[in-house]
Amino acid sequence: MPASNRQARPSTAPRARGRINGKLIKHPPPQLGQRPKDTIQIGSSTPFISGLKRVQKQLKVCTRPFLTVQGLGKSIEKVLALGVKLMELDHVVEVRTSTLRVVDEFTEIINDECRNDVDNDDTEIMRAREVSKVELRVYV
Amino acid sequence: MSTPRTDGRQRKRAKLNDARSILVQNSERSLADNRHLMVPEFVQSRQYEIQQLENAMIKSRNSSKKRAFQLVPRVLRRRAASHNIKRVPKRLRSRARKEMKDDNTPPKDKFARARAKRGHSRAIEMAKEQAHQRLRNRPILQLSSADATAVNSLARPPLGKLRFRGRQKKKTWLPTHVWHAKRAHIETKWGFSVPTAPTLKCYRPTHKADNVEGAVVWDTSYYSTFVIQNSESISSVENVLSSLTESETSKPKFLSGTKCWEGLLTDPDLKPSSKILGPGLIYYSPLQLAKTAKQYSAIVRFHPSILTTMVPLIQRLCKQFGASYYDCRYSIGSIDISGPKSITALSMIIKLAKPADGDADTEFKLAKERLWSNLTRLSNTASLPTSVVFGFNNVIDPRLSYPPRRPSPKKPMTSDELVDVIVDWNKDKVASGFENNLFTMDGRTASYKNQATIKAINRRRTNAGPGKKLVHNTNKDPLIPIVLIKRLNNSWTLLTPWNWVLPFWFSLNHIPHIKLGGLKQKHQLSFEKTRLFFPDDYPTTDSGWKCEHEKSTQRREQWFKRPKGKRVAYHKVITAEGVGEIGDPFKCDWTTLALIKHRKASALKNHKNTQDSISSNSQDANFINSHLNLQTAKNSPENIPSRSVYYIRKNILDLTNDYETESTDSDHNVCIDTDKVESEVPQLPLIPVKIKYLHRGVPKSQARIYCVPKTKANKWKTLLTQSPNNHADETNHEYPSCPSSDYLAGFVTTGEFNLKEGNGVAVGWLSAEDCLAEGDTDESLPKRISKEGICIVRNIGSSVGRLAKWERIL
Repeated sequence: MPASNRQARPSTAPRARGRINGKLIKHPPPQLGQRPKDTIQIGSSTPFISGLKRVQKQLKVCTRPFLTVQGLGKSIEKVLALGVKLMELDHVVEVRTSTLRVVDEFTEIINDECRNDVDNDDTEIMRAREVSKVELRVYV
Repeated sequence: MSTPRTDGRQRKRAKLNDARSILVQNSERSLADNRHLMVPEFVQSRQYEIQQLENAMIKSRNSSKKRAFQLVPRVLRRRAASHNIKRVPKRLRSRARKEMKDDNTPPKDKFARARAKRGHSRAIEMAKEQAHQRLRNRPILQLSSADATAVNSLARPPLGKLRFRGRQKKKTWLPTHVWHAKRAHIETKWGFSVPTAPTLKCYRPTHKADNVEGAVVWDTSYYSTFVIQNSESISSVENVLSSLTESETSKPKFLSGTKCWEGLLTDPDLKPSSKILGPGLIYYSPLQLAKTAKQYSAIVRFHPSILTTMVPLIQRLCKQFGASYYDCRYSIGSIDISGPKSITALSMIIKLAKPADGDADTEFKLAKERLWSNLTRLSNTASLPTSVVFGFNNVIDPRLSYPPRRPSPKKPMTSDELVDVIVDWNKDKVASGFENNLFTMDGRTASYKNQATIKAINRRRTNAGPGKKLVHNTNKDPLIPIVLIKRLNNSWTLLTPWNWVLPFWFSLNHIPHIKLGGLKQKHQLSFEKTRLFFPDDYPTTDSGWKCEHEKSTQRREQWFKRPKGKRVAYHKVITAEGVGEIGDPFKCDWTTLALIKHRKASALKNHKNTQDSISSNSQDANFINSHLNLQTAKNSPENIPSRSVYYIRKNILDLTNDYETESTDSDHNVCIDTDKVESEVPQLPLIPVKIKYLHRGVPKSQARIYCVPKTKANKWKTLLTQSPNNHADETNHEYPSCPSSDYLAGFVTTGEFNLKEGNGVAVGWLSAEDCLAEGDTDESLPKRISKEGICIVRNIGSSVGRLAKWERIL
């Protein structure tokens, strides 16, 4: 697993995170521009076979040396299973891991326990959370 | 014809011959020694042949298109293109002109437009127009944009030009009406001409534009907008609005103008069971940081179908709490945009002028602008906080920066940096805005001062010279106030003065991958997200009930138009009762459902007396007989918790009798005679649900939803374990038959194949009695309504019930 070209990131040491009693709205990571066509996103509700077929179809028309398949959090296991399956089908697969940040929005907060560490008096709290990401590079 | 007929034929034959003959290369160099195939040479030699083949395909395809206007892509085709060369793109005009000359098509281009009048006749026309405009007490010669707001009364619709007066007598045109008239089907609804769908087929393109790439835009100026205002205190405005929203809008985040409230408006005079009117949006004008606000005001926006209920309500509440209301239905217009490209498209048309020096809030305003400019490349609106609002007073006329281009920030942000921006959204109070000029009549009127005509803009462009950008003239050119709201369904709503909608609309529609949408597309996309669409999916409101009645009348009429042999024989559909569809096959028959539930309850009470009520009608008798075998239903409506349950309004149920008596057809046999709806029909508690088929099939609107009968529960539950690929089929003898009408639990209001989920999906309403959570043994306690369960869905005109999973929404 090549980890050498991973760039040093600013400190991601977790802040003191108290439990917030409120309604949690999870937001997806911000996406800039359009997702390139040779990147396939596997979500928690993507069926395994659909993902596999999507990769195989894209491999036929891919003009770049490799195809990227990625998944976050819950779908990591599925992406890795997909990687193993592709290896069985004699594809060269490389696995990379990284971390993404997403935003959690808390509304209708009930207790004030952790309000001290957030220096605003609004009834809503925005908090960043780190999510693991796994990326497969499937070589054509 | 200018040439003899035979010549034409020969020429055509030659043309087709040429188009369909493919040149080939017969000699084969790669087989030079006649034994070994030289692969590189072989491939090279085929290259020529493949090229010829591809060319031939293109030539052959184009040869069948005879005329210039047929070569134009579908989106660029225009109705009059066959006889009017000005409707053909410029590059094809010379060819079109020649073709029209060859086959003697009378050139219509000269007569297509009425000639502009000159001299005396022009003076007469202008005098007429002025007299016409004077009807509205508008100053003579002020034919340009004006604000049509009314204070504490209802506004009169804009008069429109004299030329189009006849067409706007009974309805109002949207600001983009003429643009839409060329590209969309338009229907008169709620006093407006509303585009229902583009003329081009667009089911899949709309799905793609909203989910994959591009965006869909709507002119939603038909939404009713009111401004509630008080110059002394915010509490009076707050009281008016909290009465309409069950105090939900009194939270500080709404009062400060940081966020926009979106939800269901309620009638405070009615009982909680029937108070929902329809969806609405409320946005308080942000107070200036300097606290020098002169006016406290809020925008209320709601669907035009609830206008007749809302207006008396607003009038009464404003009187009660000492606020005044401004009817801005014809002075604040709006554009909705949804899809991955929506933020980029908006940042292409919203160009901001630098705030004037000496402004107290300059720093603050700049911070807000920086925040907006950071989002330029963002393609998922969902990553931003919910219901955020951007308000700007300094937007430049979008026509000056035509064609719209994407702003290029000096240092584009990474996704990680953007997360920091979003996390700090509330921190530096950038989120709340500053007093917006859109809220006031003066502010809107000021934006119309020196509003340039298209002609003036074009003249400026000509004078600037080719390739030169037009520059905003700070002394002369007006600045436009706008409010941009992120909606709960992750689309954006742009609010702008009525007469600025069209300039924004023109620019927006010149951005690539932007698709036009109508009401149908709005319905389609909200269905794909399995959200309820107002008014079609809200049978518990007056508007929803009316909408369903109108649609059912239409369906009935269409059904009668078809010959007898070709229409679905609803009276012959085999159901568990025997033959005949349950209730009215053309609508979601809530009256029948209420009656079934009522009879179920009364059958329990008067177990022995039921025989008395058996009528001579055999089907009715069947129906009643089946009640004798009723399993014990313990859940009377009183036992159902009131929260999160919606009721069809009692008076609506009474109304149905009037509707029903109008149609006296006997061809489709209605199982239950609706005339017999007793006045004491209990209210029908309903919950909205999302339904997903577990096996094959697609649910359609008005499909009947049944709960799984306990006696056959095991048989149905074995189907749960079957994979979707193992097609459970009605031909299979082991497939259980659809339950009887005793188990009728609700109706599908919208059902279709959902492109987003790749499955048959529906939204509908279930009787709350049938959704009670199992396992609660204590009967004295109010029962909980479960969040999900399984049900059986049967399309009308079919006897097969499909197993499906339901899930509560709303």
